[in-house]
Amino acid sequence: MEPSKIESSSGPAGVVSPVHIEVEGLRFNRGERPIFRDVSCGFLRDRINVILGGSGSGKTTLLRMLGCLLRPDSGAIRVDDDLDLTRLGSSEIKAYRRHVGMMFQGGALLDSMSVFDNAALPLREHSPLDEAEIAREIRHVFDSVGLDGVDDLLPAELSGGMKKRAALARALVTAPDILLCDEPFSGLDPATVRLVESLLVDVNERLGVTMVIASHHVASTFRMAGRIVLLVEGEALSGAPDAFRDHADPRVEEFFAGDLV
Amino acid sequence: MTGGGVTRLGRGATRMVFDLGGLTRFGAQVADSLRRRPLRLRRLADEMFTIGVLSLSIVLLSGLLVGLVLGLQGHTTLVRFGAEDTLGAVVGLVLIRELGPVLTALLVTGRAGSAVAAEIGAMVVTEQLDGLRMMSVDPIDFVVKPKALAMVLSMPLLSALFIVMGVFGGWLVGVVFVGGDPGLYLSSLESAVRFREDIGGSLLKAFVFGVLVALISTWRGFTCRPNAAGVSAATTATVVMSSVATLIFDYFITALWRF
Ligand SMILES: Nc1ncnc2c1ncn2[C@@H]1O[C@H](COP(=O)(O)OP(=O)(O)OP(=O)(O)O)[C@@H](O)[C@H]1O
Ligand SMILES: [Mg+2]
Repeated sequence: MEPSKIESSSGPAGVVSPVHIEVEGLRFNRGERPIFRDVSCGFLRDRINVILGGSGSGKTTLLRMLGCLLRPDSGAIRVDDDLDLTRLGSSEIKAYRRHVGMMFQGGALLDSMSVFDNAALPLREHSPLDEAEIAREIRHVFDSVGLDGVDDLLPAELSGGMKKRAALARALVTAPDILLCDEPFSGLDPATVRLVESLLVDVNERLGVTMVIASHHVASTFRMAGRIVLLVEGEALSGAPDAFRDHADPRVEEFFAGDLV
Repeated sequence: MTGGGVTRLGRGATRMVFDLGGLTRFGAQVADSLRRRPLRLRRLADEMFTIGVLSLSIVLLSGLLVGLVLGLQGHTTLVRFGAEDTLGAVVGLVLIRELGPVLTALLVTGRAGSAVAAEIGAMVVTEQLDGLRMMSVDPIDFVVKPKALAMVLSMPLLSALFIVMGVFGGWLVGVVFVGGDPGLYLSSLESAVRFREDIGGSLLKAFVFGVLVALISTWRGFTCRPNAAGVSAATTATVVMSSVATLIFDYFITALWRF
């Protein structure tokens, strides 16, 4: 471990913690099968953090734990140094989620409602805004993700890239502090990957939101990530992208298998 | 192989107890959501429309056919005792007390209950329910409540329509086909039906069956495993469980309501 800057667990914290979400010693089994043996890593505040890993390595699982959709068997997930997600009751979870947006792999848009109604849903449920203000808000968010003229369409009538953008828009309308994205690039052609990628970077720069993105898209990860968390064999290796370029760990080498230039 | 059989029986019984526990807890959550605002009347109206549209034609057609058969069977039997004047009462009472609510529940289960389970199951598979949770929206309140309530409210209405169509079918046979007295058919029906025992019991049954089908179908969808096989299992289980539950409850309501 010595020559590389990749950490197997979190390093010593500075005076002002740049770490927004701290994951410590997560252990999780599905039946008899261990998914996480000992996962420790940190996600940087206001930066783009990418979770990499092979299929079935637990990227979605970790993301769901960050959204309190799943509880680990043991370990802690601390947000802002105090809130431990693994110990929240249901009303605390609700309160926490008000500050979190999640973009699911398939979009998870409600297929019985129009794209506009989908994006408006969190505002209609929780904000005191009236319909005109909501419409203005949605216009604004749709503009920023480049959605135009799809308000009245049903999610089933959208293309894959548009669905991702609509899902991103819905996650952003409540101006979350934390944005969780599951595979924002899966099933997209290279041009659309670039487009969604620049959208995410743009949103991150403008709104300064802490992003955690599960992905297996190596190239885009090295372009945008401030921190990479690589899941291998139930453990996490994390560090800055550069630390992964001059890796020393054979597990890192195996995952990238020549993808790194 | 008795050992294996006993083990399987034991496992089945354990699962049933677990299932009942889960269903009860789910029912309590749904009941709790009924007390919460907003009532989501728009979504309720949409769901009633969907369930109504899905079930209406099959309920009307089945009601008519059952009425025709009851008319024929009733007539041939009653003629033997020289009691064909009471055909209206026989057809009407059988429909109101038993066949209306029970057959409607079975039809609605097959048509709308399975659809509800499949729809909610598909929402589980595509993470739509998790999406709602992440927006701090309770899926039971937002998705299950309107669907379940629509099912409960639709069932007595559909059952009443079934009965009306059935009485009409019996009238077609008894009056039009075999040329009975049109006045007698209706007056024998009128004088035989008692309000509390017959109409009240009929509505009670339809209401209880509505609650059963609503809870079972939404619960099965809600707890569906997140893949295609899970959705198909949830749909099948909904039909089987709802049908059996309907017939079991039918017996007990009949016994306790003292028809
Ligand atoms: N609902 C479930 N029930 C049982 N096992 C599950 C379930 N969901 C995931 N798993 C298992 O957990 C492991 C991690 O799954 P996860 O979805 O987190 O992987 P992933 O890294 O997101 O993979 P992918 O890149 O394919 O999306 C997998 O081995 C998977 O088989
Ligand atoms: Mg995944």
